[in-house]
This record gives sequence, C-alpha cells and structure tokens, in this order.
Amino acid sequence: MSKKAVQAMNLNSSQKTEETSSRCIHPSDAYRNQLKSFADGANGLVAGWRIRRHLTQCGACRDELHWIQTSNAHLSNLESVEPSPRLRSRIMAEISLERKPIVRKPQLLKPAFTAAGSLVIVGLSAFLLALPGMIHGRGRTAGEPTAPPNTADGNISNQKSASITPHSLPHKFKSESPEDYSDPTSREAQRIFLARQAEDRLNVDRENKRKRAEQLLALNMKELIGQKTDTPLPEPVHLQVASISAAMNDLRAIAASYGGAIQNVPAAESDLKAVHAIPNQPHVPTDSTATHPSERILVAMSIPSDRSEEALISISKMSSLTRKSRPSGTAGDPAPFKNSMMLEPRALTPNKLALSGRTAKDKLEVAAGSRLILLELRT
Amino acid sequence: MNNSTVEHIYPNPYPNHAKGRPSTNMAVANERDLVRKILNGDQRAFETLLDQYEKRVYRLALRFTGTASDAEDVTQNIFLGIYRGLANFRGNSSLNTWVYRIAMNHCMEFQRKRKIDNLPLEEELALVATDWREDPEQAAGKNELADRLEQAISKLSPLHREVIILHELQGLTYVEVSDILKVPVGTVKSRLSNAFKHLRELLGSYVFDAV
Repeated sequence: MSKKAVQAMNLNSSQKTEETSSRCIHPSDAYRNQLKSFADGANGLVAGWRIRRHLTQCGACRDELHWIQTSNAHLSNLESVEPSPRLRSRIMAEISLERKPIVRKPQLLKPAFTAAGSLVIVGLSAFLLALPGMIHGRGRTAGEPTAPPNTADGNISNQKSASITPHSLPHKFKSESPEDYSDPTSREAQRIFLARQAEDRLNVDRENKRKRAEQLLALNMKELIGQKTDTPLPEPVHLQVASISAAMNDLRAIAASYGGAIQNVPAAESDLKAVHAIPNQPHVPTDSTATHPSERILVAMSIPSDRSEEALISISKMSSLTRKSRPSGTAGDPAPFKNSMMLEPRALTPNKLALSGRTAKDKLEVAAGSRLILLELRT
Repeated sequence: MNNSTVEHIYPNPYPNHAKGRPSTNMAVANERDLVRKILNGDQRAFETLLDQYEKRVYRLALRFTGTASDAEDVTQNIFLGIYRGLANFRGNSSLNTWVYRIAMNHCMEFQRKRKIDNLPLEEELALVATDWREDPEQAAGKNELADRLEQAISKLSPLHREVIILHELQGLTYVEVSDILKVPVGTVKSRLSNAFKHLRELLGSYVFDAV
C-alpha cells in the first residue's frame, strides 16, 4: 500500500472522529453506561477524564448525568421508616433463650488435620488398589496346585498375597452393612455411641440444673411460709391458654432455660391459699408429658431475680398463648386478644403487668435471691 | 457550554456512602472486640450490634417483605442468625458486609417462600419524614415524589431492585454490594446503570419537576 493511500485513510478516520464527536453519536453506549458510576465517583482516573472530556461536547450526556444526580439525591432521602420499639425487646428475648455461640477451633490446627486427612486418603486408596490382588486366591483349597496366577497387567502375583482370603482380612476392613450396629468398629455404631455419650452428658446437666432449681424453690417456699399469716401472698398472673398441657410444657422449657423451677399446685387445692400446702405435698412435674385435664391450674415458678424479667417476656410469648391470641392483622388467626390483659406483648413488660392497682414486679419479689411467680392458667 | 457549568455538574469524587454507619476506624478497631464480647456471652455487646444495624436491617427487610409485621419477623430471624453464626465470622470481610450478607440471604429466602416478584406498595414503605415546620405544599410534593419513586422501584426487576436498595437506599459502596451479592464490581455497575435507565423511563422528568 502506498504512503499516499495510508495518509488518505488516516485523514478519513480523523474526519470521522470529529464528525462523531460533534454530532455526539453513542455507537456503543459506552459513555452512557459509565455515567452512573461517574456520578458516584467510582470511575478510574483515565475513564473519568474521558467522560469529563466527552461531557464538554455532549449535551445529552450532561442531561443524563444531571438526572442521575438529582435522582441520587431523592433516593438517599427515601429511607426514613423506623422499627417499632418492641422489635428490640423481641430480639433480645430470643437471644436470651439461645445458647452461647460455640467458638470455633483455632485455625492453626486446620492444616494439620488436612495433612492427616490426605495421608489417610492416600493410604486407603493404596490399600484398595492392592486389595484385588490380595483376594485373588479365593476358593482355593490346600491340596490344589499353587501356580501363581497371572494378573491383568501380565505380572505374576506373589504367593503371599494369593494366600489371603476374605476371612483372613483384618476385622475392620470387612464389608459394613448399615444395620450392623453390633459391630463395635462400624462407623454407624461409633456415631451412635458418641451421640449417646453427648445425650448422657446433656441429661446429667439438665438433672443437676433441675435439682438446683428445686432446692431454690423449696427455699422460697420456706421463706414464704415463714412469713406471718396475714402477709398477703403474691397474686397470680392470669394467663388464658389454648391448652393446659401445652402451656405447662412451654413453662417447663422457660423455667429450665432461665435456671428456674416450676411446681404446680394440686388441682384440688387450686386456690391461692393452697400455696401453703406445696411443701407438704411436693409434686414436681417430671420431664414426662403429663396431661393436665383441669381447665384451671395454679403454677408456682421460681426464677433467679436477675433473669426474671426476661422470663416474664418469654412467658408472654409462649406458643400456647400466641396460638390462641395473635394480634389482629397477622396471618393465620385474626382474633385479637381482648379478653386477656396479659397477652398483648406491649403490656407484658414487667412494669406494665398491672394487677389490682399494683405492679406485678412488686408483688413477685417475695423471696430474696430469686423471684417467685405465681401463674394461673385457664383454658 | 462554559467550563464553570461543566464543573458544576461534576460529581464529588469521594461521595459519602456510609450513611448512619460508624466511621471506618471505629468499625475496624472495635469489630473484633465486639464479636469477642458477644461470643463470651455479653448481651450488652449484642445490644451495641443492634444499635448499629437494627434500623438498617429492618429497612432492608421491609423493602423485601412489604409489610411491617413480616419485616419484624425477618429482622428477628436475621439477628438470631447473626448471633448463631458469629462463631463462624472469620473477619475475612467486614462485619458490615457479613451482616448484610446474612440479611440478604434471609430476605431472599422469604421471597422464595412467598414468591414475591413485585412488591405491593404499602403505607409503611411510602412513609416519608415530613417536618411539621415545612410548607404544607412542599411536604405534599415530597410525599408525592416519594410515592412515585417507590412505585418506580417496585417495578424494577429483582436484580435491579436489589442493587438500588443496597447502593442507593442502604448506602453501601460498590465493593460492599459486590461482596454481599457475590458478583464482580463491574456487574454491580452495569446493573445500577441499567436500573437507572429503567428508572428514567419510568419517571422521566418528574424528578426535576418535583423539586
């Protein structure tokens, strides 16, 4: 190609570029696509400089940028909704019911475990590769000739490996059926063993916790009875529940989670005065699912003072309560809880548990160290 | 067009995206300390975390759920998930990104269950902070503008809506959005650009008229 032709081509291309910029045609929308990030200051120096230069020549892009900036300002003022104050108490109540998060193991051990794991895998695969040759002599009797058989790759297997039978294999490499729990080396049996150990530990913990709570409750009762007879007992908190047995289960769970205890007054003595009879006829519900056929039951709950407020909040959120009386407007059951003053979450903070003109907080502080809560459950 | 006009429309190269977020130094220095305290069972530390994130997470949840009651439920689940998962927080990303990732996962799960594509515009979403001292006409104009913006956002595709919510409404940076959504920064930029094009088609010059 001659020099003149090349010069002519360059001239044409430069003319085309000038025409393009003057008419501001956007053949690939390259600039327009970058205007948003340019408005946010997220372009690089070179890209920013190019767009800046382009903007001096292109009115359409200037308009676009102006629109983006205006919209950015409007959008940033859009979020102004505040969560309701009860949301935080809900979250904190849930968190208090949770166990402490388990801290992970230090990461320094990780490479060691990885190396050990890969070594085990390599060893296991080497053994599996050697296994077909080892069990090749299956079915051979002692009187038969012992000519070394040819293997698939033409090598002759040695006598030692040929004499191995499945019965002579090490115990741990026998085939493992999922149902073979009697075999102590099977993985399933080991898993079950470990699970049982963990469950046992948990049960011991629970039992210790329950015993301690029972002692605490007995102490409270002693203190209660040791008072003068004309001392007013705490009035019970009335709770309307869907099912007594479900509510008892909920209360047991709440008492256990806050390190407290629960004790129900026998049905025949379901009167406030009957609280005195509790130490004489102790009846601490066990973990069995005992049913409570009566429609009204009095329950005494002892909770450590520092956690009693959280426990009250949890009681207010028992599923046996909320199932029956959800606030109106929620999906499922629209029935508002008009008849039960205890059920509305807002009214369930301890300061607002108003009973006969006094706050429940005052009434429940009967025993020092822990708080005795009397609950009357009604279906 | 003279140079002064061009300069006028040039953006601030260092926009403040961190609306309502603690300063970077504080976030970096106290993040680990906060996590350690929570892991040790300090509930006050968790309340500090709530102070920082409750409003923002609630607003995010409200965007994806559409109703205040659902947003509260989702927010509660999000913080429960954060509490349970804190032991697995390795500090590879910032706590802010990690919290938002959990929040987004919960919001997405909620949407999957409800199969919400276009959210209905509810009163909660249309609420705008109106100052009583403002001129009533101006306040009404702001409300109307907010309504129009909400309607336009609700008509965006889910992919465009989520970047608008995270970047424009929640004030996260491009890098943070890309970390949360696990997409490249370039994808975030292009989605935002396309989202704004769509918004312009929907709103036209209304944004100028409403000022």
